[in-house]
Amino acid sequence: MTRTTRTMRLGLATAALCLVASAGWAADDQPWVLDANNWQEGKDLLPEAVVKRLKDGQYWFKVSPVDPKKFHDNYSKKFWDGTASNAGKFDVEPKQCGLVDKATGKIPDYLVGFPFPSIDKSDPQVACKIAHNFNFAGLAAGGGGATFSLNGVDTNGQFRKVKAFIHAMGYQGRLDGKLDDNPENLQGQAIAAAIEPQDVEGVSTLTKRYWDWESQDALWAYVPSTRRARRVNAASRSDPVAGLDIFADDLNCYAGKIEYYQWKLVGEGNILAPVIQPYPFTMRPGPTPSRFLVATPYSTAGYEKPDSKGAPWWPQENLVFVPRPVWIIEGQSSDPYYNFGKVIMFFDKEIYRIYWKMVHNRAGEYFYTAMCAYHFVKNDEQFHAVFPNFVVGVNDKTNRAALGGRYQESFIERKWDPGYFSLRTLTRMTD
Amino acid sequence: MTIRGTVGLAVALGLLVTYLSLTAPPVGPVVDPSTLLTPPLGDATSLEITRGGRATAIVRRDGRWSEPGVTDLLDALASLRVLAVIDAGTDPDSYGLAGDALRLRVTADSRELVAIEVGAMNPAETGVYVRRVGQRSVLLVGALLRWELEKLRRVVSETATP
Repeated sequence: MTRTTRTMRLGLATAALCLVASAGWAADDQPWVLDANNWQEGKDLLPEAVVKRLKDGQYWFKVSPVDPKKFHDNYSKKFWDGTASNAGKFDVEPKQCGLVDKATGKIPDYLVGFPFPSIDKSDPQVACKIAHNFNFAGLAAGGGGATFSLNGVDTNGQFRKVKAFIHAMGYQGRLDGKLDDNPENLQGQAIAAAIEPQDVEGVSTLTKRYWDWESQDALWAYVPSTRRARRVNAASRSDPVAGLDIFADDLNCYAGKIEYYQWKLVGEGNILAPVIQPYPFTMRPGPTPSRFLVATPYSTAGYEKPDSKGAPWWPQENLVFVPRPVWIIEGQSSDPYYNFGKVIMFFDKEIYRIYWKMVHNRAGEYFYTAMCAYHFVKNDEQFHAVFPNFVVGVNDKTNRAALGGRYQESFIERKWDPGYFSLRTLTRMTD
Repeated sequence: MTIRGTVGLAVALGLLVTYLSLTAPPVGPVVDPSTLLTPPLGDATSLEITRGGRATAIVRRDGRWSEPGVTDLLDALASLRVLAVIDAGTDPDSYGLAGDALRLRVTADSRELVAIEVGAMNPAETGVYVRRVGQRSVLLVGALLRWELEKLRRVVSETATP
């Protein structure tokens, strides 16, 4: 056989394999609707409390299978290259799950991508490594913000609405590279404040997360009526926000420091992952060279749409569900003042987002499920972002819910002024 | 200052430190032990689960359980608080506590630490009904018990030899 013939046969075989693979994917790629009529098809794709509402006709799901390769490419090549280059470099210390640079035995100076490109189920520290991958998935963009709403909804409709904003800046995991000016040794910092209604206007928080294993987050809360910013416990992230059935720790489905929780892998499976659309949005230039704007559609909920079906808090449009392979992980805080007991979370095995979490209280009573919906942003292979678009928090004990997020315009800020994240900003916000 | 005075001060300091350490406030909120479903289960050496007439016994030898996942179940059991006490009257079936209800028995050597029947979930599925064996009252405890039982069931069925 000549070399040309061999090459041709190899080429044909490869093409045939590709065709078979794509045909195999194409056979399952048609969007479909999961509702009360075919709920059995979703019983292994959703948390139990959600299946109950699906079965009752309160929830339904537009399921949109995706090309796995294309979904993988929602993250930029630069991120995946960074991930590949991290292979074998990092470990975790057993005491509190701190990330370790094997070369120094200390916390790494800086890294981009997932610290653990491959996950071994039999590794005793596997859950902790998955949690660190989750953390770094969210750090890639480096900073941004949005003005959003929190809507308290019960079976009669909306009972409370709060408008707020959040601005965040990251130091670690940035695709744009390390920021040398980091005198406080931070992983990141954020400011959040309420804008409406008037009784909560100006109530704001400043958070600083230190890049070490031991420190608690530093959290300050400012109340305009007292004109004082007070330090509050990081465990307050498990307190309801503005009296609603939603918690600060619902951002990305887990907003705490990885070292706060004890993590345990308890299973794997497939889950319906909520996303605004399966593939990225683009960003456009903003008012300054470092700011970029992203427009995303609004997910109208049942209470906002006449004659809608299902629970009043259930999103009616601009939300699709992608079947994704997940790790099922338990997390439990080591802080005795943290209100949650055991939390069960579903982590994407490839892009490390948490899509759902089921929360028990300290008495062991299940009471709350959060669904965390995301959107992706990517213009080229040098940069991308994955942002929490909204959370639907449902208190199954009180049969109430809250929606948080659903912004239509957000921004990516690639060069924050670090001085903005200060108590000075907090105390002058309502001046 | 004399040596006697120095020793006196050191003794006073020691007494003060001892007093402070003995009367130090507890770290975190205190749980009233009388509200807990079970006593502490750290000494447990055997767990029996009976379901539909079929019993599975898991034992601890040399500090290790014969199946993984038992520690999680026992930790959960020991942390569960009784959320409600219900007089089931003559109708325990409506709480899933018929004769074939799942039974859970934990012992330390031959001493029984806890024996309960596990029934249905409450309508909101936030908790599960249980009953201490031999007692009339039905107790509502957190649904974490069911999650842990299901985890253990999966492990046992995966490791069981046919």
